[in-house]
Amino acid sequence: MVKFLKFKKAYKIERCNRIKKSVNPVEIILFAVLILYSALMLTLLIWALFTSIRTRGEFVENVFGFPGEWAFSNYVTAFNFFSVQILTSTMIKTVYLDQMFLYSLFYAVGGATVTTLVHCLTAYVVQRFRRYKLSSILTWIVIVTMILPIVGSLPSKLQIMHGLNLFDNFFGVFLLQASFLGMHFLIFKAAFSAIPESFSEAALVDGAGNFSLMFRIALPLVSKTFMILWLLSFIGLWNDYQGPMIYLPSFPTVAYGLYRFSQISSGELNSIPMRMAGCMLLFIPIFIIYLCLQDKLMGNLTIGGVKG
Amino acid sequence: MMNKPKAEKKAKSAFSRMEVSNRIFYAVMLIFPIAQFLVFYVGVNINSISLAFREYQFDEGGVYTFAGLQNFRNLFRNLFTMNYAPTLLKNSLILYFCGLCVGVPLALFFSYYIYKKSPCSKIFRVILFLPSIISSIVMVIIFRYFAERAVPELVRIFFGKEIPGLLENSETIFGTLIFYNLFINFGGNVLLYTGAMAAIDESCVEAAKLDGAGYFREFFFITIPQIFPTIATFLVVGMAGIFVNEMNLYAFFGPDAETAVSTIGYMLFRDTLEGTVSNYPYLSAFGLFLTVVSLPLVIGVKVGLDRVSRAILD
Amino acid sequence: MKKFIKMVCAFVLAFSTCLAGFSLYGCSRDGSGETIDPSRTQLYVAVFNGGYGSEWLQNAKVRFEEEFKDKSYESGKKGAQIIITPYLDRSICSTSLYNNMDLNPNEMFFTESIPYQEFVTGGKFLDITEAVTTPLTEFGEEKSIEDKMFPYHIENFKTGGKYYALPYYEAFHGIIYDVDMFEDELFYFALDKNNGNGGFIFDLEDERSYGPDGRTGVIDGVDYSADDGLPATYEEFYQLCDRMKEQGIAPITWSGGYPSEVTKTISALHADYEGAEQMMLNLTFDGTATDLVDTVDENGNITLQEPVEITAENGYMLQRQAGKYYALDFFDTIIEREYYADLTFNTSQSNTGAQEEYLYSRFSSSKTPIAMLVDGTYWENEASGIFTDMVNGGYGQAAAKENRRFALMPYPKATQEKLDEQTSPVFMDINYSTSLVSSRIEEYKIPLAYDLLRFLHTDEELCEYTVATNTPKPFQYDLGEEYLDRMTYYGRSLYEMHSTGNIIYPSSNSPVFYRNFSNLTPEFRPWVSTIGTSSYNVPITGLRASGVDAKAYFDGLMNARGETYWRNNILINL
Repeated sequence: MVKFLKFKKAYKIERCNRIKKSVNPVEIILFAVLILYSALMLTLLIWALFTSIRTRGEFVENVFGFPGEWAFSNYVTAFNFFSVQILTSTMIKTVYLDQMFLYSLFYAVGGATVTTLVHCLTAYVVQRFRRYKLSSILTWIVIVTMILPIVGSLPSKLQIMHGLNLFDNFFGVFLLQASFLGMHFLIFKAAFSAIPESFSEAALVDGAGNFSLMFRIALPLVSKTFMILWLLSFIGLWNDYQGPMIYLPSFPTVAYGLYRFSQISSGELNSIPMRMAGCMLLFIPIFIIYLCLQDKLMGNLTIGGVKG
Repeated sequence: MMNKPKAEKKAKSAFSRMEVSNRIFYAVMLIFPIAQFLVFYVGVNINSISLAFREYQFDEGGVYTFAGLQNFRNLFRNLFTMNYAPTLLKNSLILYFCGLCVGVPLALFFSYYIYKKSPCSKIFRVILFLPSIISSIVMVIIFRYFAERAVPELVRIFFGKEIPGLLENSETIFGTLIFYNLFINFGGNVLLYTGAMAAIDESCVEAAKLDGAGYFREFFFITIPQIFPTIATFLVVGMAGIFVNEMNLYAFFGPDAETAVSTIGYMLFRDTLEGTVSNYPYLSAFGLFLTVVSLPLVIGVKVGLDRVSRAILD
Repeated sequence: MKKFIKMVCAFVLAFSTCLAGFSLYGCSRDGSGETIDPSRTQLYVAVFNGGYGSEWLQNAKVRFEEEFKDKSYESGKKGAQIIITPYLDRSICSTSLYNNMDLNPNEMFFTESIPYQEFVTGGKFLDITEAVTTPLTEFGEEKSIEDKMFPYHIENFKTGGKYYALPYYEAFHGIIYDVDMFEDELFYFALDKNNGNGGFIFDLEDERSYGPDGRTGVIDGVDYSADDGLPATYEEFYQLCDRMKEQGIAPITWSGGYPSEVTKTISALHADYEGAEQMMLNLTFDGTATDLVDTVDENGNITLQEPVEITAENGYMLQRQAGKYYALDFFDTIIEREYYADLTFNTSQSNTGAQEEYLYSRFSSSKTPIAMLVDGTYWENEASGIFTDMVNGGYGQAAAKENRRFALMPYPKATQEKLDEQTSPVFMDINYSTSLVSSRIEEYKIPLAYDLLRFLHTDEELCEYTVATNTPKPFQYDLGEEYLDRMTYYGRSLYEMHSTGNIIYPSSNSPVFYRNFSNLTPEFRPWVSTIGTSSYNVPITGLRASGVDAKAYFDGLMNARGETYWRNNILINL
């Protein structure tokens, strides 16, 4: 025990020294702001977690308290109700959360890979050959389509998907997502623009072809951006309920399940603790994975690494 | 390319050979994205965009027929008589400028903090990114109950004061919504900014340090200029979304958000969802009008920022 | 790229681990769906799982399949199988259905918020005239479905001499009161106003006032006593609220998260004041408006204009209907005098949240009891899960749905003069609920769809529906004692009102209405008000804002949707 305390003291001193070394008012202010932010975020989540294991009655009595009897049964109920019925040629099938996870995974991994690849390659080509008129046209198309709100395009979208036999089919949805439009295109373009021209010129002089220039030189230089954007797309698609709802009725994903769950207005599921349990059911696994992998994922992405 | 020395005639044939292969490469690489764009964007949406120039016919089996600029005429008439339009515009602008003046600088500072590996930066990085991994449905549910039920309860416990929920109170609702929108948007931005910062050439930083640049000066004179293309992209994207951003209002209030807190994007979004097929032409015209209004702004911002980027990078 | 592949692998592995965990829980699943029986003909039916749920249809399915087990709809098959998909989200409501109906595998729909004419114009519905007009003789009945329909529904659903859909449910909005509490606390008005108890009864045996219908006892075979003792006028309603507050009871609550329930109630008060004929002007734009307000003075007294002939051209003038002012004034007073319970305006309070608060408040020791709830008539069915949780959560059988007594309060009258007219209450059946068959149904299945539709409208099934949901179906049928016994107190009282009330259906075949459906449905957009540069969509939010009273809000209606608006938005669609 004494040893431990000693160690703790030493650690504290060392930490203080470390902070002292780089002490800077701006840094302290930032630290305070970030602490506030984190406190709020954690309070939100912990509150939601506690609420999710309380009973309806407890919550009605007091919104802000510790669970009396730990109602883990909320989770079991939520899990069982967290289902979507789909129509197959032989039966009405109930799809449960475990299968939804698989669909979500497939949808998000496939979609994110396709869309990030298309963004990346298109942005590279457009940035490298920006002197071509088509390149600036494409850039402007991206910007204009971001501003232009589209009204009531669902019927024609469905029509085309159906006509091309892509409806209710993962391949079709990936094709739909394989678009170069959107912010990620611009980010990739910015990333490519930061690569000094001398790099590619040197490679070209060495006799590298366009493909090897792209794969050997350019893409490795934006691999961080690629992974960040892949991750962002993955998360976006993981949480997207509208796409699966509209285009993949036979493959309900977790996000779609949650959307339906949140819409239930009758039965035993409409209490706030039960809703929170539904939310937590989705949040906790992702959160654990994120915690385990975050250092690998983001550590590599954001700190150190290849220099330009 | 303009700077290519014209005199090198020998290189000319090699150059044109390269040019041909470049063009082939260019075409091969772009054929799929463009085809995809033509089918899934143009093919799908041209119909919707052209709705702006058409009208719904009840008597002829529910088809849309050409109506010229009628929808735009109606739109302009309404714009001049709609006395809450300034409120919507104001809200959209406030949302944009809060993002610009608070969101962007904070995200940059946070990123810098993490980039510099200041105390606890790893933990902060994890927490900042949390809202991004949580589905927006979940986030809105939790935040709403928290702001409406838990906050008043906390205030009662700690300050002994009875206050209404933050979203219920007309004085705090808009601020709370803006706060929510800033709050959840840091994650992705911080990740991208830190990513860009990590790519900064270390020799630059070392050189600056030798010149005696501190924490703050390094941020302004090295970091910001180095990642300016990324920042510029975000600024352009923010500008482009100025009339489309619905501020998560639909997730919070469904169709019942009050005009006092609504943005233009929300109104268009809501009317499209709540309206019937005969309303589509008018709404489509409205959307097109907003695009035409914001396009020059976006062009201006983009061209300006591109110039700044080039000036900085050169 | 290696890193990328590694990352994907990591994700896949991690998720698989999680899945294994979840699969353990999966053991407790209850059945995994119905198998399609290849020896029978299937009909795919979608039902919107809102306030009415889908249990009624699940029950009816069993009876239907049994009844038609020997009928053959396609060669080599015998009997029918009804495959029901309950929709928890609104993707089969309103324009969403219009947009995705062509790809939706379902052939029959029970849903709501349907702009009927637009769907008919778009060719989305099957012509079901034959099923509606042929007498239901195969079920031993002489009447056809049409014979059971109310005239106001026939007028709306019969277009060009044909039927394309039927009304599905009947929903009114209003104030629900806790009968048990009213009896325990003696919240009924006595006939003798000066009885020394503030005009309230001393005990349940006391003679009560005549209520909003102004009559009591049985007159010409109609029983007028059900509303006796309830507030007859707005003024009495406020007295009642004061009384409640004195006794430490919060008078009223509603859903702050879905304020449309209140707007619909304001609309219902408007309709009740106007009466069927004047109210329907808002939908037909054809007739004489007799009670348009000229001015409202400081004390809230109104001066009327001369009667005005309403046409499509001047439809906006109906914004000045006196009923609108009074309905706004009613809620303005409730807000101003703080008759509402604590969480009433809290946006975290969904409609089920408000139901929960209302139901728990009477049992929980830490809550102020709440006497009344503003909601749709489907509320009790919607709240079924809350009743169950209360029973299991320690309050016992006393908290069960069957053992608690609620009723829909007949709308109090705005003024003494209205009360003296002794009109029967007007209920507005809103939400545009629809039972329909998709026009994409295959030819050989049409007889099956007809059979189901006709089966569901036999007297017996109408009664079964009523029992299952505790709300009436919008048709004319008699509920026998054996059915009434199976219903809750609330369900019975609601059926009583359905049978005696004067119901209007806020829809019409006027092109002015159906071409501007989303702008003219009376319970939503016509309540937009512009006061100065502020604009409000939801009356209660506006009325709660400082400096806005009923008069200001009422005048603002014309600012928001006056002549200019009408010309630019409504008339151009004609």
